[in-house]
Amino acid sequence: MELVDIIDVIVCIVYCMALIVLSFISERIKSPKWKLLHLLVPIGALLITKHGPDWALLPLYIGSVIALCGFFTEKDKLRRILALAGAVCMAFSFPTCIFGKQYRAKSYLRDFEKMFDTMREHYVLTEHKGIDWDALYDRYEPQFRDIDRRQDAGANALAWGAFCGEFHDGHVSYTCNYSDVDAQNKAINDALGNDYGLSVMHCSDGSFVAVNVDERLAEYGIRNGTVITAWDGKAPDEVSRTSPLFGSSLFTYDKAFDTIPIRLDSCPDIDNEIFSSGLLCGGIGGDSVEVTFISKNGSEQTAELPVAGKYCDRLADTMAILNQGVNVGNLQWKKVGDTTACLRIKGMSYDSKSYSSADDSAYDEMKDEIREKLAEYQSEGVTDVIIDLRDNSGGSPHMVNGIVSMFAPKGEHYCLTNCVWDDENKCWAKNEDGSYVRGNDITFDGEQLLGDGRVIVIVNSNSVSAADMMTKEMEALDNATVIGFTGPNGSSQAVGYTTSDTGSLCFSNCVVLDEDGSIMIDSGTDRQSSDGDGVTIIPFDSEAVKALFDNGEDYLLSKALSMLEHE
Amino acid sequence: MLDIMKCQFRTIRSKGIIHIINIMLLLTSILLLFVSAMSADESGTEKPILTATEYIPKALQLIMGLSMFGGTCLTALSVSDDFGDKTIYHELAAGRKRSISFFGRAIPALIASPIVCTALYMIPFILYGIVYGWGNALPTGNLILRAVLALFPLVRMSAFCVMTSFIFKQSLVGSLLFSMYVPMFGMSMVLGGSFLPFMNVATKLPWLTSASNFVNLGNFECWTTYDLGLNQFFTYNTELSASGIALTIVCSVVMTAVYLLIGYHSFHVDDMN
Repeated sequence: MELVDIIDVIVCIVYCMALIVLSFISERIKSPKWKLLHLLVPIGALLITKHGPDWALLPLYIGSVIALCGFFTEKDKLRRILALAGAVCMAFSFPTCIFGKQYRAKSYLRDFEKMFDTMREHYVLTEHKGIDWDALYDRYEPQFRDIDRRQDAGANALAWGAFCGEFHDGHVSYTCNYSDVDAQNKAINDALGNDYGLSVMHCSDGSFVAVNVDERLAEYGIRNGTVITAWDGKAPDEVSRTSPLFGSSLFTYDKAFDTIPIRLDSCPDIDNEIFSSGLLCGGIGGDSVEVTFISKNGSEQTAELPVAGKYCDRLADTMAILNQGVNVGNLQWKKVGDTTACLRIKGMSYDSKSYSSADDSAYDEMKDEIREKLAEYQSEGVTDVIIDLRDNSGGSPHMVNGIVSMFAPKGEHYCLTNCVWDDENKCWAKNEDGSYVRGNDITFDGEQLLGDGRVIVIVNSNSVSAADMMTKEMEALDNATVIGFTGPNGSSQAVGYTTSDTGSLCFSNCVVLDEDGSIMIDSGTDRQSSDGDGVTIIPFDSEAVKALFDNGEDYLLSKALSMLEHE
Repeated sequence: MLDIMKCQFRTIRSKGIIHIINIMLLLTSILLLFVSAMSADESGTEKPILTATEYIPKALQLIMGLSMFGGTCLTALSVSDDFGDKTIYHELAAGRKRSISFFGRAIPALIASPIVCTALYMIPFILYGIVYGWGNALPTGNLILRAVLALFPLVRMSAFCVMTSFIFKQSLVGSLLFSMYVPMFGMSMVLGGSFLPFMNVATKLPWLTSASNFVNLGNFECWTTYDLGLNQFFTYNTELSASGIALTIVCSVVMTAVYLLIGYHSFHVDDMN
């Protein structure tokens, strides 16, 4: 029982007892005004409680009404009896609160229904992604009803994660309230399972290899890069699919460092899903797992690996290595070679003023800073630039235009197409065939600041939204190359939010179109996003595993530098 | 009782302080509305002038909060004025029933206060609509429904003032109780509802108090979207839930009866001195 309610009930009971004492005083001095004090009981019962009324506190409210009735009688004895009866009734609040399961219950089901309805009404990719809302409701409503009954904040986060994963849209995500973060982290960490000393990654040649391997597995002959052929007798990707978190879109949050150690994505683009298809299997198993692998001598061997803790820490570590970027702040530069400088862009946001403006000139200050820094580097002999977009969480498309315009060859370049708002029907205007009506095109003029120099953009599957747009724009430039183990996320519509008492839901809400009027970038039912086709995929192979997990190198950055050198 | 009621209506019509308060509130509301509509936003860029129906969702709650003060002052001043000059005591001494004295004063207040309150929050928007156009962002029928529904919590609020006036026999107590509520509500809105824990509860369960119930009827669920030019588009869900309507009516009627019962009982047995 919450302290504020305990105090409230005790104060009200004490007040009722005081009314009994006061009735003797009123009897002695023959004044009817004392009984006005009976009016204060309901105020105390209802308004002091900061969380408002609750059904479990019904005895308190009934007791206050009983005590209030003393106001309507002139008989002191009856007033005392009513005050006493009120106090006794109030005391029943303790068992009803302590043993009542729904005491101060959170409304998980109501919040699901509220946010589901809002999303259903305003989600702009329903047709494009073939979303069957009724089927989704039928699937998830019983889950949230059960969660509501059990009052399980962790299960609520997992259910929302699974729900968000259904859309294969990088913009659909659920964020629980801060008070539920610990429960969410615990639920995700528990669901990730046990640690057996390794993570498993899918290689470009179709095999699965051990990565981020614990040193103690050396005695079994398993090291970084060892080919894993089976996990408890099954293919690693098949095992991954049995994880309760497979296909979910959710993340853990580290309150102390304000970081996201683990981010699971339902991958809009199926190619990105294949890349990480072995990751979840590393936590699946009982007290031990049988791992079948190719030993150094080429023979297939099986080792029984015991549990060595929780998989969440190893997974977080593996993800940090895979998704590492150049370690400088947003929009900061670092010289990474004799003739190459790297611009790190973690988010498409310069400052709050420019962010809320659609005017290209809002980013003049940012562009001046970049020009100035670039000129400084050019005077030191820098000819090429690497733009690191890994883990870029997106932001303003206007900032993207600002940056791309500086590196793009001279001339006008197409960026994206606006949609048209139907003010009468209060929705985005559609053509007769159900496609969205094209609005104005947004273009930019290239400055080609690098002259004959080249640009390489590094992306990963967490480069989302405006980073997706930037990838698409850079792909189209003659002087730029985009590289990564995968393409970017594949989600570029603008977002809206709906909130509830227990969390908030983010989803695609504003339409962004491509030149031909189709939905820009976001994958449809085929789960193929329209950016990333021009991305040069860097093979994830034994060389990459060795560089990343044995030597601690930034492999993609090294590859980018060698590509520039080679060219 | 009719003669007392007529007299009360005459008092309401002729009492200078009531007119001054209401005119001041009306002018403040009009000024707030027009100045706020024409001023630039935080980033210094000029806002487009909105039509009345576009502006109502943004400003109605604020204007409603102000109008409450006018209604409560009217009730408190008209009801308890007769305690000050002993009119009620003379009435009772002349053999009038206490119930007639009570309801003869309560009923005119319960009628006049909601009407004045409604006028106080409607007139500024009607004037705004005349100047800048009415628009069609909100269906007028829904606005009328809300205005009619708002009469219930206004009656409840007035009944609360009648009760406090008859208990305390002072005109200022009832209105002060509510005038405190206005800045509390204002601060709560400015500070995101965190100023007072109770205000959070009142936002979630507006039927708890007449003031929150009344102001909540000026709340329109809004969905905002925008295009790449960052032009914002608003979609309002103006529908009122059946349970919301029922709770507004039932809570208002029940609590009005309770307040009147308490007020009358207090007056019925109290010493007149």
